[in-house]
Amino acid sequence: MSDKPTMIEFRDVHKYYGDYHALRGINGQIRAGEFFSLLGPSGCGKTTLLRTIAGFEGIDSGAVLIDGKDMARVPANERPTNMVFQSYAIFPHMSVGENVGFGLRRDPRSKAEKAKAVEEALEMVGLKGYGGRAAHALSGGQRQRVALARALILKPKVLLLDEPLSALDKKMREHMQVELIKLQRQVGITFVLVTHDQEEALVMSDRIAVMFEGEIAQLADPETLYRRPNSKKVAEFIGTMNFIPAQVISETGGQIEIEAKGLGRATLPADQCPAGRGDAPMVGLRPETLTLLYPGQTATDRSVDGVIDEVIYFGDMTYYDVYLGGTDVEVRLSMRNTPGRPILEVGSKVDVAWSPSALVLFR
Amino acid sequence: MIATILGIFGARASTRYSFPGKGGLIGLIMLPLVLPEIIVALSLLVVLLAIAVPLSLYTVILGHVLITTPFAVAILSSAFQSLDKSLEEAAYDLGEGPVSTFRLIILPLVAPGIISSLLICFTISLDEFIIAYFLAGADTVLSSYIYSQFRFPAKVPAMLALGTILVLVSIVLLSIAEFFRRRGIAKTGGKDTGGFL
Repeated sequence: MSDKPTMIEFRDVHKYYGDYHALRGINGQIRAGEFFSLLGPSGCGKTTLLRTIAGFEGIDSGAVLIDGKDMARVPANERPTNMVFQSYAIFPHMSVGENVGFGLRRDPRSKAEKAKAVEEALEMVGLKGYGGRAAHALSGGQRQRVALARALILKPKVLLLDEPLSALDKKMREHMQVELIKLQRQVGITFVLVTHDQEEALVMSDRIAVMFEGEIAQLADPETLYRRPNSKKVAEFIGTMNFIPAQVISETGGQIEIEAKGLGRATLPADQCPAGRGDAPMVGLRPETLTLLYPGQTATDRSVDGVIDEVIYFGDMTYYDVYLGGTDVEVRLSMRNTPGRPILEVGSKVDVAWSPSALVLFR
Repeated sequence: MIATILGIFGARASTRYSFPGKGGLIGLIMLPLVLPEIIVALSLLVVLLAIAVPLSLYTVILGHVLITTPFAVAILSSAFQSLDKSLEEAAYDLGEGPVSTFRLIILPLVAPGIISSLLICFTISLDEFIIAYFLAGADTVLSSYIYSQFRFPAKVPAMLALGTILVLVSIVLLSIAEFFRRRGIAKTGGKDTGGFL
C-alpha cells in the first residue's frame, strides 16, 4: 500500500482567521486511491484543511500540492477535486438530472452522451430513473446520493466529503458508510472525508489523521491509531481506554520497565512507548484487552485479582468496572456475552487476565 | 419613467451582495425609510437648486430611487441571506466561473425576491406624492396631476375613479409581490422570516 503515489501533499500549511491560528503547520501526504479521513473535535481545523484542498480557503504560508502540482494559484473551479457538502448544496431550482449533469456544461460531448453519463452516475448511487424528479422534494439520504453522483460524474482525482453523513439517522448512516466504501473501491478515486465521528473514521478509512487545535496529532491506519495511540489525547478521542498511574523503573536499550499501580511490573518495547510529553507517566489499555477469568480458566499471560464495582449490560457485551489488586485503580473491561457465560454480580471477587503487549505508556 | 427606476434599484440592491460587511453603507441607504418624506423632498429640492439642476421628470426619478431603494434592499437582502453559501461553492467546485455561477444559481434563486421588490417599488413610486410635487418642475406626474385636477369641480368624479383604480392596482401588485416572495421561500425550503404583508 505504501508504494502508492502521493496524491495530496501538505507542506507546513498555516492559516489564520484574523488572530486565530486555525492551521498550525500541517504536514502530511494523502496517497492516490486511498480513503483518507480527517478526524477531530469541532473547531480542530479539519474542515478548514479540506477547504484548502478544494480551493475555497487560501493559506497564509506553506503549500498544498495535488498530484504533484502546487495549487497556490489554481482557483477552485480549475482544481481536479469535487466536493460533497455537509448541506449537500443541491440546487433547489433544478431537477435531479440537471443537478447531476451540472458539471458537464462545459463538456464538449453531445447531449445524448451527457444524458447517458447522468443516467450512469445516478445508477452508480442507486437512484436510477430519478433524473426527472424535482431536487427539493428528495429525502436526506437521496440528496446525499445526488450530491455524490454530481461530484463523481466529473471523475475528479480527489473527492472531498465534508461530514456527509452527519445529517442522516443512525441506521441510514451505517448503511451509507458501507455504500461509500464500496463506491470508493469501485471508482478508485482518492476520497478525503472530514468527520468528528471516530467510529465512522475507523470503519471507513485506510488511513486517518487525528487533528487537535489546528495540528495533526497522529496520522496512521485505523488499527495503529486504536492499538498504539501516540498520546493520551488521541487515545481518549478514539474509543475507550483505561488509564492507570505508573512509574518508570528503568530504561535500557529500547526496553522500558514500568510499574503500574494495581498491575505490577512489566517490560515494554519502545514501540509501546510513544515520545514523552513531560506528563505524569500512565499506562493505557483498552477494555477488550482485559478478560475476566471464569472458574477453571487460567490466564495465558498475566493476571491480577479484583472486585467488581459496576456491571453494565449492553446486550451483546457486558462492561465491568473492576478495582484491581486491592487498590483504588478502577478499570473498565468488556466481555462478549457468549451462551452459557453468566453475568457476574457487583461485589464478586474475580481474576482479570491482561497482557503487557496491550499496554501503551504515555508520559 | 417608472421602469427606469426599477432597473436602477434592482441593480443597486443587488450590489449589496458584493460587500456584505458594509453596515454603515446599508444604514445610509436605509435612512430615507425613517426620515419624513417631506424632509427628503425639501432637502433634495434645496440641493438640486443649489447645484442648478433643472427640475424635471429626471429629478423625480432621482427622488423616487432614493426612497424606494431601502425597500428593495430590505427585500433582496433577505432573499440573498436565505441563500446557502455552499450552493455557490458547489457551482464553483463543479467548474463554473463567478459570472456563470451568478447567472445559473444565484439569479434563479433570488428571482422571486427581485420580482417582489420590483412590484413593491413600482407601487410605492406610483402612489408617491410629495417628492413628485416638489421635484417635477414643469412636467406632470400622475399623483401631482390628480392633486392639481381637484381644483376643477367638474374633474372630481374622474379623479375619484382614478384614485379608486390606483388603490386597487396597489393592492393587487402588493399581493402579487408577496405571493412571489413566499413562493420563493417555499421553493428553496427556507423559513419565512417576515415580509411586508
